Amino acid sequence: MNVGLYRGAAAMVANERRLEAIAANLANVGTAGYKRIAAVHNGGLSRRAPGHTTVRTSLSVDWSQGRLQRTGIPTDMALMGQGFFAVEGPEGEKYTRDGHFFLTEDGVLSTQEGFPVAWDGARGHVDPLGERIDVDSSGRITQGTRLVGRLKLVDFPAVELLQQEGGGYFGAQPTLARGPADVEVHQGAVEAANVAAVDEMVALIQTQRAFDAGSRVMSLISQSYRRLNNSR
Amino acid sequence: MLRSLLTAASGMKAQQMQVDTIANNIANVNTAGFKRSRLTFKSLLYQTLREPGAATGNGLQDATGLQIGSGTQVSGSQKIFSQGVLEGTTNSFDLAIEGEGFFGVRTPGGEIVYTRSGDFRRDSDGRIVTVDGYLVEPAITVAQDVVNVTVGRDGTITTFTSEEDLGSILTVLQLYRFPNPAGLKAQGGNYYSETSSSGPPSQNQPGLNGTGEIVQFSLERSNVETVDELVALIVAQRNYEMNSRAIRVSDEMLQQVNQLIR
Repeated sequence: MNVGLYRGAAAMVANERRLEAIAANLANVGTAGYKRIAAVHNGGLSRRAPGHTTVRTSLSVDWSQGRLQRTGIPTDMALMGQGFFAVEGPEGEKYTRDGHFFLTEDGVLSTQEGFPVAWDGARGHVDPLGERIDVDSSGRITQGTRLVGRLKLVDFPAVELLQQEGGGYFGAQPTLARGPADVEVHQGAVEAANVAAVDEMVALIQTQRAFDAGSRVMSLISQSYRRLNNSR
Repeated sequence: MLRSLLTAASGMKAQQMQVDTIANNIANVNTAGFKRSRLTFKSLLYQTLREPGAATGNGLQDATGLQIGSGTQVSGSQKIFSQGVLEGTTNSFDLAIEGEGFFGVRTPGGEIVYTRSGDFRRDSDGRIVTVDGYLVEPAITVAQDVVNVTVGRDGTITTFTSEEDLGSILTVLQLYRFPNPAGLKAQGGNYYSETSSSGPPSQNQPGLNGTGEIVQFSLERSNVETVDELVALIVAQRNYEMNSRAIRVSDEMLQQVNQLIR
């Protein structure tokens, strides 16, 4: 059977994956701390049939910095640089770039879901009825003159091995190496999604056209077989 | 393909809700004491097609894996309790709070609700009530012969029965503060009620313990900035459009698949 038929199909599947990534990026254009999914096609060389290549998609997270959006809310924090906030999820620590935090009635800094934010050392306690908190660029939180604590900021040398868990959270295997984060914390802002609408639109057009080409290849080959079958 | 259709649809739904929120903010731009809301979005669950770091044979590892997001969802709405601009009025029962805190009022059902809107008046019995007739909590009754009332920044209410009267202190207006005001439940009519997330209110005299001060002859305008809301509206509309583009492309690609077999 003509190998081109399978290659056409592979191109269609690869572009379908790419479309899914673009759709996810566009849907999350307003999600704070969202990191876009970058789709890369690589031509895979087949050892059994030298010279025959099929396309394969790999999706990876694009870790580039999102722009900071000022909100003026003291419990909103944005990260500038490489690193993550650590939060205490129900099944262990999770990592996020979404610094949209709240103070609970007991003065615990937590996420929208109620996961407490992890601290460097003992958990800091904020007086909910006290003065507004101040966060410096290293993540140290003070309330008035009292030092509350320092946020736990983590970076991963092998950041590509993090698991996306939805909700803007990333999970890490316990064995994955952690390092100190080289980030600045900005209070009163959140990091916008790093999705650029124009780039996604261009990618959308490219994807559609490439898909088109794949399906053209399939129908052309199918037509030639039809002619061959009818030529008896 | 179906996945990208649903993903884009989730984006459209989220943007639709964003427009609803912005519309409500804009509609209340002239509502005294109104606090604007904002929506926050979160990405939906990721589907893992290939684990990051999965073995690919010969002791090699997949560098990135294959994880596809399935869209977005609205994770919550938050009232932004930033200070609104104070606007001068001529009614002596128009009170504004400068700083944190809420007025407490009692509904006819006996429930205490909280508001930033201080356009009070005297009812036929001399009690201080809101525009809806809810009693200020704790109740304050002004005698019928009082011709003038002043409210100090610390909430002290002084009444005068005549032009020559030196005034007598009636009571001190109380304000309420919550540990987590963002957790209050908006009730409509500019009232908020306590929830387990907001925590219990603490009653304070204005100006003490971080509570705001009272400004008489003023109303707090809404904290909605029309320009910001309009910019957000444009952004939401364009995002909606882009998501609909993704749906159209998915649809056209599906159509192409259907045309493969003739």
